[in-house]
Amino acid sequence: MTRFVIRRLFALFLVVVAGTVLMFVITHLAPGDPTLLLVESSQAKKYDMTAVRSAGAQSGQVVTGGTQAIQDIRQRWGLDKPLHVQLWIYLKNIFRFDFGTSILTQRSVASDIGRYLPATLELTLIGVFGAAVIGIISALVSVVYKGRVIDHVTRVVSLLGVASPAFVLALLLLLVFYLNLRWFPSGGRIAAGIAPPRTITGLYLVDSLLTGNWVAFQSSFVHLVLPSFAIMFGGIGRVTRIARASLLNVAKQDFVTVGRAKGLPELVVLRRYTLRNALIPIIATLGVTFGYLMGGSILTETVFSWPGMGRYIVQSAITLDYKAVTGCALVITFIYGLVNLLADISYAYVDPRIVYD
Amino acid sequence: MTMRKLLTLVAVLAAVVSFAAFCAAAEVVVTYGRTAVEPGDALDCHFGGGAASYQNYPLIYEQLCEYNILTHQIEGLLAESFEASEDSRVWTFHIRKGIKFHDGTDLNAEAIRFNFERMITGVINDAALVNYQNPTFEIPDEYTLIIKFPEPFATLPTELTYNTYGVMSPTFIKANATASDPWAVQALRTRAVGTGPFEVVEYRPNESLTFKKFAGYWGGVPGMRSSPKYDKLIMRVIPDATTRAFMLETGELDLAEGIPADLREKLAKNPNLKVEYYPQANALSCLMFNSSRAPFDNLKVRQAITYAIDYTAILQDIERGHQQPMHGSMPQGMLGADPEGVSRHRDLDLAKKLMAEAGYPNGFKTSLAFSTQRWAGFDAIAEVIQANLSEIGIDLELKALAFVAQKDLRTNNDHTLDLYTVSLGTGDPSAWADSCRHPSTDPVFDPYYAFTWESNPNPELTTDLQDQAFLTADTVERAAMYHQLDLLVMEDFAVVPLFQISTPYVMRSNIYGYVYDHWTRGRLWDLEKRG
Repeated sequence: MTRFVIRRLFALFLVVVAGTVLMFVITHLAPGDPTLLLVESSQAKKYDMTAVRSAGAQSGQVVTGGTQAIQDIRQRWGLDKPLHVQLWIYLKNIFRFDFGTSILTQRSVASDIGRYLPATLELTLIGVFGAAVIGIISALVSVVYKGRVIDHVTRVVSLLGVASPAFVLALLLLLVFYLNLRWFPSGGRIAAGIAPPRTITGLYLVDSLLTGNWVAFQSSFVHLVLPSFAIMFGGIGRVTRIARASLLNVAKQDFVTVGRAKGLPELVVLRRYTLRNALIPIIATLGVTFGYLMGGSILTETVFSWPGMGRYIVQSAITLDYKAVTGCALVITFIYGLVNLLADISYAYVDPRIVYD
Repeated sequence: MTMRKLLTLVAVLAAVVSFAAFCAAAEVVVTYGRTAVEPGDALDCHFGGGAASYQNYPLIYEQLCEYNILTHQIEGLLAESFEASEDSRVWTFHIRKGIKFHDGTDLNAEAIRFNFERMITGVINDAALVNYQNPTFEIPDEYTLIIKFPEPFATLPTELTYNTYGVMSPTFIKANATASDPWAVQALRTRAVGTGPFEVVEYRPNESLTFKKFAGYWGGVPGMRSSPKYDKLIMRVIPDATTRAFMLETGELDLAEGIPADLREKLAKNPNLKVEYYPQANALSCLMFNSSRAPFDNLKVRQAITYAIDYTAILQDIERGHQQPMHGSMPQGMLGADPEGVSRHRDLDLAKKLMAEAGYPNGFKTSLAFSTQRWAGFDAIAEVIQANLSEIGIDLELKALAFVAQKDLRTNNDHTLDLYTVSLGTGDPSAWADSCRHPSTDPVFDPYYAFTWESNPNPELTTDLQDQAFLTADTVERAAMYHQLDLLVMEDFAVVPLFQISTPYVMRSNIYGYVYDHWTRGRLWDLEKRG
C-alpha cells in the first residue's frame, strides 16, 4: 500500500506540474493583455494628465503616458520577459509555495487562495456528503421498490439532477425560498451583523462548533442550505444513477441469492451483501463528483454571493490575471487528484481482495 | 416596599428598557449592492484601483479640492481656499481648521505633506503629479501648504479632485509602519483612517464593507460632502444581477448598481422601487474608425458610415431613452462641451451618395469589434449598425470579444471598426483631448483614449491647442480651446459619438437625495432613508 501511495503521489505531482504548465501557457497565449486593463483603471490617466502635456511635451519626449505606464507595469509584474523565462521563474517559485502576486487584488495568490478556498471547500464537502447520503439512500429505495412508482420517481428526479445546470437551480431556489417564501437568506456565508467564528479550519460550520459560537453556527448553517443544495442536486442524480445500477448488478449475484436462501432478513442482505459489494463504483463516482461539484460551485457562488474561489477564478479569468488563474488551477488539480487518490485507497478497505502492492 | 411601589418601579424599568430598545432599533442602516469583487487596494486610496475602490475612497477620505455639484466649480474641500501664482507654478492652499481624522488627531498642512510624501516615496500612487512634476513643499504655518512645480500646472485643482489624493491619518500610518512596510500598506488592506463622513467598521474582502457615520465629522460643504443622515452603511458584494434584483424586491438592499435593462424595466413596475439615471460628464459610447487604414482613411467613407447609422433605433429602441444623445464628441458637462453642438442624424441617401463618391458604390467587407463586458447593450447596437451599413453595401462581420482581446486588437493596430465606451478620469477635457493626438507623435497607441484620430489633417494645430489648453488656468479660455478642438474632430468625422452614458441605479422608493457622479462615484453621504 505504501508503495502504491508513493507512486500515486508522484503521479499526482507530475499531473499538477503538467496542468500548471498547460494552464500557464493557455492563459499567456490567450489574446489580450492584462496590463492594458490596469493602465486604463488607474495609471494612464494620471501619466497623461500631467506628464505629456507639460513636462513630457516641453522636454521633447515622444513617449506617452500610456506607453510609459504599460512599460512600468510589465516590468513590475515580470511580463516583459520571454514566456519560457516567465514559466521557469513561476515553476521555481511554486516549490517555495509562492504562486506570485495577483494583478487584480495585488495580494499574493497563495493568501487569496487561502482566504477563498475554505468557503468553496465547505460548500463542496457538504455537497459531496449530501450527494453521497441522499444518493445512496435513494438508490437503495429504488432497488428495493424496483419497478414501482417510487423507483420511477427516483429515476426521473436523478435524471433531472444530472440534467439541471447548478446555476439555473440556484436561481430557482432563490426565487422560491428567498423571494417568495423568505425561508432562507439571499446569500453570503453568514449574516452581515454576525461576526464570523474565530478561524481554525476556515470552515464556518466547523469553526463555530469548535468555538461554541452557536449564533455563528446557526447563521452559517442557514446560509449554507440553498447553495449547498444547488450544487448537491446534480451530485445526487449522479450517485443515485450509478448506485442504483451497481446495486442492481450485485443483487443478481449468486452470493446474494444464497444470503436470502439462508433466511437472512432483507435489510441484512441489502447492507452486508449488496451495498458493500456495490460500493466501489459509488466511491469512484464520489471522487469524480467532488471535482464536478467544485466546478459547479463557480457559478453557484456567483448567484449566492458566496465568497469562494469560484468567483475569484471568474474575476481573474476575465481580467487575464495569469498568476491567479494558474495558481487556482494548480490547487484545484491537486485537490481533485488527492480526493481521487483517497478514493482509490478506500477501495482496499471496502474490498479486502484488492491489494495494491 | 409596598406593592404599589414595586409596580411603579417595574413600570419605570419597563419604560426605560423599552426606550433603550426603541433607540437601539432606531439605528438607520442603508445597504448598498455592488457588483465588483473588491481588489486588494479597496481601502488605500493612494493605490488607485478599480471602480469599487474609487467608490470607497470619498466615503473615508477627502482631498484638498472637490467639484461642487451645486456651484459647478472646483472648490477647496480640505482647503478653505487656494490660489496660484500667475504662471501656475506655485500653489498655496489654506487648510481648514478644526478637521479631525477618525482616530481623533488633527488635520494640518504637515499631515497633507506627509500624504504627498507617501505617494512619492512609497511609489504607490498613480500620482503623476509627483512622478512627473517633482513638486517641493513648504509649510509657512500650521494650516498653509505651498506646492511649487518646476513647470506650470494650471489644472492642479482638477487633478486634486481625484479620489486617489485622499488624505490619511499620518498617526495611523506611522503606528502601523514596519521596517519592510514603512507606509503601512498591509494595515491599509483592512483598515482606513481619513477625515471623511464615514468610518470603516468591518471589512470582509469579497463580501462586505461596513461603515458607520463619523461622529466627529466637520460637516463638509454643501455640494461636496455632508454629514450622513443615517447611522450605518453596508456595501455588500452581490455579483449576480438577478440576486441583486431579488434583494431589492425584498428590501434587503436599499439601492443597487449594475442592474441590466431588462431587469430594470421589471423592477420599475414595482411600487416599492424606483429607477434613477445619472448622466456622466466623463463617459461616452462611440463607434471608432481605424483611420490609419483604407477604407477608413477616406473622409467620405467615414461620413457615409456616420450618416447610415440609425441613432433613434440605438437611443430609443435599444437604450430605451435612458442614454443621452451626443452634441459633438465631448460629453455634456465637460469643460468646452457645447449643448448646441453638432448632432448626427441618419440620411441614407446622402450616405449612399458618399459611398459612391468615395469609390465604393458596391460597398466593401469589414468587421466591427465590441465587448459586452464594456457595455451590455453592445451586441444589440452592433446588430443595428450591421443592418444599417448593409443598406450602403458594407458587409459587416461582428466580432464579440472579451474586452482584453478587443484592447489587444487595437493596441496591435489590427482593428477596423470598434464599439467602445470610455470613462475619462476626472472628466477634465485634457483626457478627452489626448484622443486628438496624431499617431506620428504617439508611436505606441494608448488604448484608453476616447477615440483615435489617425486621419487628423492638421496635427500641429490640434497639438498646439491641446498643449495651450492644458497650460491655461483661465477656464473660459480653456473651454474655448477645447470647443475648437471638438469642432475639428467633428469636421473630420474622426469618430461617431453614439451617446453620453447615464449610470442607472435601482433603489427602494423611500431613498432620496442620492446622486451618482463620476467625481465621487456616488454621493452616499447625501442619501436619506425615509420611513
